[in-house]
Amino acid sequence: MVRREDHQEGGGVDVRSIKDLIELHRAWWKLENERPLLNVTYREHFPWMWMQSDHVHGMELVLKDGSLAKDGPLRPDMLSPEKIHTQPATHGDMFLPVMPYGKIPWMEAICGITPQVSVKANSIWAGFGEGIWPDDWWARGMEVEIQTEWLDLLVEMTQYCVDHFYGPYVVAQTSIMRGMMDIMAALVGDKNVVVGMYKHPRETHQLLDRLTDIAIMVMQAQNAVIPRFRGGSVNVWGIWAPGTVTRHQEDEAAYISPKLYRDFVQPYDRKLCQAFDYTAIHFHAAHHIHGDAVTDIPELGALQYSLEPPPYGPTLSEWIPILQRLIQKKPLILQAWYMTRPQIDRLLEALPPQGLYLQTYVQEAGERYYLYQD
Amino acid sequence: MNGTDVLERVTRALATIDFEAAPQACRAAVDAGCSPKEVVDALSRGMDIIGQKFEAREYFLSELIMAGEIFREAQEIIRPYLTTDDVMVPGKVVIGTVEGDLHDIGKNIVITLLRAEGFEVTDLGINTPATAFIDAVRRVKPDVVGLSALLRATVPQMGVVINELEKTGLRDQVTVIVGGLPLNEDYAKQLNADYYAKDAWLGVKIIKRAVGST
Repeated sequence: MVRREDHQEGGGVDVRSIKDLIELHRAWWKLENERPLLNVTYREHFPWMWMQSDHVHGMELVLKDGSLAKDGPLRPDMLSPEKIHTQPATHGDMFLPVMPYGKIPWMEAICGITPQVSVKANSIWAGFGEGIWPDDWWARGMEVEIQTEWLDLLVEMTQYCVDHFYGPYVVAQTSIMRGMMDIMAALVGDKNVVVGMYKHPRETHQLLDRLTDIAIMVMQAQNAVIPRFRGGSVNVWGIWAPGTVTRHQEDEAAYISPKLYRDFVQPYDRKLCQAFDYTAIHFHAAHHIHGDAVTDIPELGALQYSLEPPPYGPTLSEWIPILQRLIQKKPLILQAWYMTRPQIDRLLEALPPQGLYLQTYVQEAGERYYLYQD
Repeated sequence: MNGTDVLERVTRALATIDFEAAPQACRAAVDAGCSPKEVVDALSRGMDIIGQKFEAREYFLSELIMAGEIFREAQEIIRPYLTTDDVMVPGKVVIGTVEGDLHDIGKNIVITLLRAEGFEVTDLGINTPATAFIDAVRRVKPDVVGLSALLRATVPQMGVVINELEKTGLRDQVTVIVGGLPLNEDYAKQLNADYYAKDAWLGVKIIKRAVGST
């Protein structure tokens, strides 16, 4: 186990260059990293103070004459915008990716569900509750009608990010790629997803399979316009991989049983994972019941959990044995909005560094109501 | 097979989420001379088992949803056999996700279960402003108002709705129940709600108790 203090005192790998960061990420995917990837921000506002502040990436400062900066004074005439912006920005142990506008429910829109803007809810949503297909969708031979205008717009926005930001930043796919169960729920409604799984399994499988093909197509369309970066690509969490990356989510799976997940969702999560090199699935805390099933997918690259505090999910004490089990199989990306330093220490002590990536904000106990509880 | 046996089949079919056996068992019970009320009671016993298994984490929300669906279908089967005396709506509920919140899975499960139990439910949907709740209460005259939220930031909207019920003189005419993950008993009291439900199953139990149907 690696303690947080080890990183501060230089006990881990001393990452100081983009090249080293890439090698750290390469090892992470293989569960071979010697220290965890950390992106821990002290408080939520600038100035950010990094827990691993002695491991600042991007110190390959390229000077106007093309040489790398050495220890010593820096003068304005030594720098030029063209040279200095050759290094992509980093943030803790991650690259800072630029992505197409993430609030649009792209997958739902592409699948024919009209997005709805809600200013009051600060959100753009699609297909809540009832769905847009009739209850007897399974008997009607309903087809998903791909909205090419939305797909074209997503590709155009991805290209815009590449044209305007690639270089100083890396470019990734859009941040929220809904998975097959989410899109099915948006089409047929929450209740009819469950009814379909129980009563119309053949048609449910057919629909989920079709939606998987669409998700793969949408991800490939984005990847096609994102330039390779150092021989690979970067996912939405800023983790480089030596191949194609994707990230999708199955929020709706939070309310189905582990058996239904294995029978109906896992096969299509697997099919999607088979289509790309380094995949990751986003789950919320409520999805802890599916952790074993999803990490059983051989082709899955990593599992990401948003560790919402109780009552949204388990306590830290309940999480630790679950995470200890899962990280033996796959790298874990753990995101928690707020944790105290003792909680961070406890997590880092309990989990091996191999395959661990922790992103969180440090808050002092009692500072906020929304603390990660134990 | 006697009446007790067929009613046990009804209970067992629902409790095991056997959506094929449940309607057959209901028809068999009616054919065996069981009254519609006896069949509904057998279904209710099955729902109690479902609830126990849900609380024990043997069942999940998917099983609650499916149980509600089976219950609803069973009611369709016995509906032709109901007499005027049998038809009783246990209560009327107006329910919605409060303004600023778009999450509705929990609310929808509550609605499915309430309708299965015979409640008349008015679903106001998501992102529902306080005025829509007030209008619905005036129009429907419900026994219970259910307020749902998933986001911590939108929970205060529940207080806005309850305040509006106070201002318009409607508060004493309804029981207000709040539900959603960010809430707890203390928070519900601060909001001046009558009840807090930590999950959909408990919410239905509380509503049934509030209208005196259990």
